[in-house]
Amino acid sequence: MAEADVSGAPARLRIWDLPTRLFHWTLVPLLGLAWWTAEERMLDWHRLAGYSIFTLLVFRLIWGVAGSSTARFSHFVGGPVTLFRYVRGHMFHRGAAPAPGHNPVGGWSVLAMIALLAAQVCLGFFSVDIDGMESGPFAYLVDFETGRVAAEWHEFVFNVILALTALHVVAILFYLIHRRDNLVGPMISGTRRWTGEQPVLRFAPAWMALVIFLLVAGGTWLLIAQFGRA
Amino acid sequence: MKRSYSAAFLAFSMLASYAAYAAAPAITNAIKARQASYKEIGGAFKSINDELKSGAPDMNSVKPLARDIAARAALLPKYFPKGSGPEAGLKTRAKPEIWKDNAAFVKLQGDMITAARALDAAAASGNAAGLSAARNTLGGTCKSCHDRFRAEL
Amino acid sequence: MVDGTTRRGFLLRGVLGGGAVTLGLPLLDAFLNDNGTAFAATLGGGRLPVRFGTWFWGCGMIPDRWQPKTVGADYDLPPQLAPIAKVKQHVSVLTGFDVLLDGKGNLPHLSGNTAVRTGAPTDDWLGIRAPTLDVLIADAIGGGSFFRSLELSADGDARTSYSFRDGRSMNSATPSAVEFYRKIFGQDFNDPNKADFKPDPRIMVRRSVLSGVTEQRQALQKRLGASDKARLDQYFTSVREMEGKLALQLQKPPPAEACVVPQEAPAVSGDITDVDRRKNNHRLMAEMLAMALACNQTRVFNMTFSTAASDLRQAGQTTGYHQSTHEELIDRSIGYQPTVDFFATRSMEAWADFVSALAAVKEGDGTLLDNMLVFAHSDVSYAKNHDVLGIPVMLAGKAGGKVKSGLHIQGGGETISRVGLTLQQVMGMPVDSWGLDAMNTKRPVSEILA
Repeated sequence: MAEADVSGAPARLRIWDLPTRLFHWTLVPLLGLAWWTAEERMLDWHRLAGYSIFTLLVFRLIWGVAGSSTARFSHFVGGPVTLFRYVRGHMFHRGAAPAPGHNPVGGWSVLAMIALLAAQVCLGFFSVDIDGMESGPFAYLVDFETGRVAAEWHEFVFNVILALTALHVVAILFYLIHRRDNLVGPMISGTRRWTGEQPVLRFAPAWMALVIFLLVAGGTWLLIAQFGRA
Repeated sequence: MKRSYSAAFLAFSMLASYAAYAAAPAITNAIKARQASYKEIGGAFKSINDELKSGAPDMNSVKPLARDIAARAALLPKYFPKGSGPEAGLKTRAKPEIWKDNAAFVKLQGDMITAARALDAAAASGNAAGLSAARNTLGGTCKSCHDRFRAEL
Repeated sequence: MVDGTTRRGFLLRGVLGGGAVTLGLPLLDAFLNDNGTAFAATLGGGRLPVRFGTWFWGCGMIPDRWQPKTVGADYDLPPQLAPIAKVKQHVSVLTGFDVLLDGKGNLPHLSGNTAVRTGAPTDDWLGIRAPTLDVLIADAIGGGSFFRSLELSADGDARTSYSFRDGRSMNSATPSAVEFYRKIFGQDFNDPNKADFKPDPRIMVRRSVLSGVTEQRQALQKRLGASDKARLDQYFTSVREMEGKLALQLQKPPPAEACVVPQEAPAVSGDITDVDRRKNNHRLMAEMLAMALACNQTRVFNMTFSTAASDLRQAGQTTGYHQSTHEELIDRSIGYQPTVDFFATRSMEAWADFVSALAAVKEGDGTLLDNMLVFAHSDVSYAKNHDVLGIPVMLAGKAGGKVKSGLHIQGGGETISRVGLTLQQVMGMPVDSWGLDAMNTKRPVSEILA
């Protein structure tokens, strides 16, 4: 909720709902956990991290269709023309107005990161280590060579994810320094300062998100327990 | 006169560097044989692990796989002649440490052979619990050697 | 009339339905010496012929459920071997003998059976470098009978044969009971005029080949002693019974719309891939083979119950034996594939039928089986993985006293060419080593030698 001041001073606008923020901030430590447990060869935990990331991703895909306005893909994914216009005429301008939610470039980077993470999890499902000992839950369905190829791509895609994460941090810093726009705060609190006309944003109820999440988590658990062989 | 000497020298040095580059057939065969063997061992071991992970391993499948691993493991020591490391010029993940620390390498090879024989015996006896233990031991020998003597990239 | 000196053995010749028929005779006591251990002095005094044959079934077995646990005599019978209980004393089981591929690829349902029979691993039909051992044995002993060797297949396909000189030329099989009947009773190669004649089996069977040689039979009966008379009666009765069964196979199909009467009876009636039909057809052919062997029509034979990669199925089911071996999931509550187990057991029942048919024919002081050596094997052991280690082998018969029966012998992973070497040596061939590359061996399986 925001209160407009007749003098035009900045008001607060609610943009990120709780489910979206929780998604973002649980993904960060889970990625870290997945990375560290892989390095330390604690593969039981690594698999758990992977299943959790899988659950979050499936949830995010559903929420991107059924959730609040700013969470919906239709809200922030634009075509090449929108992208071009934004980069050309808006992105680098010091005092340019902020987007309510993801800007067009940010929107595409969200898609890219979700896609890469999804690919990474799927590759992990079928991966086998060089010793033939540890593997993903569905590696028993493919032969050793295929599992090794999956493992090698799993390693490569991880580097791409690292690169994209670094780029993401650089972008946030860019917005902070050049555009004088703090994007981290809103992703934590859910609201940002807003001047001028407020856009109409709809918010889906948090309980709906909880129900969806629990269903996805249950489905993932069933999938792994019934069909997976760790 | 000078020109022909330098031409001859050039030709000779090219020939010599090519000779150094082209690995001897014995080396090439050893590298190919060990790579094929390790791949087969990896595949067989994965299949055994898949069976064990299912909770009710099909011993009719596990027995010949364990035998294959034991038979191949026994032959591996002869596939690491001197000069078959990265210096051979062929694609191999064998690190030079194999020959620098040869005693340690040979010991780990011996561990693997022993573990593979134990896995074969456990499979032949049909004892699933012993099989799990033997599998862990063998996997451990794979890891020890790989960690130390197999190049990552 | 009764001629013991020709390669055709002891024969009655006559005419039936306008064509020549021959009825071979089993070895009657009148032909043998007093002990029944050799031919009578007046007929040359030679040893009774020792026959050799192979029996093949596809898709192996499930090792846990087929391999006996105890070694030596009086071995145990796991579930898939249970059908041979009544003929166990005639059968030796050889386990743990391997096909050594020696780096060659494993071509499913080919590498195994060809290596067992030729002693050489191969992954390509055109790469087969040696003849099958039955051809080698037939070369050595086949000259003593009219047919050098008889190749039979119970599946109605003349191309189902694992007997060859090299990978290009298979010895084609006689694929049905009818063809077989015609071959052993209806041919008369001595008469050039009748070279093309194909007697109508329906006439032969209805009127019986026995009626074509009635006078000759009666004349012979008068000259025989009591036990020989009884034996001959039994023989004629079994010929008639066999013809009766054949007649059922030859029944005309119900009249069709267009009502065209077929010129010749179909070679095999009904769907011969159905396992029960296959077993019936196989049993009939086994009985005829027993007669052909007893009458010295041949000394070497190859019988195929089902092809490599077995074509057996059950009527009404779409997934056959072979497909099941690869696709059927292991039922974790019992630990094996139930449909695969079903077919493997049926195949062993067919083997038991075969051995029984041979053991039912009396000869000399024992049975026909005692004067034979039958080599039964499959193309793989555990078909699910196309495993060629421990391919199942069984031997039946005593080879005229040269071989012990009723033993379980464990090969310990040694080359399966040891078996082929042993068989050739038992059949009197002067070989001291057999097999190529890694499968070359000089050591026979001495445990079975008497």
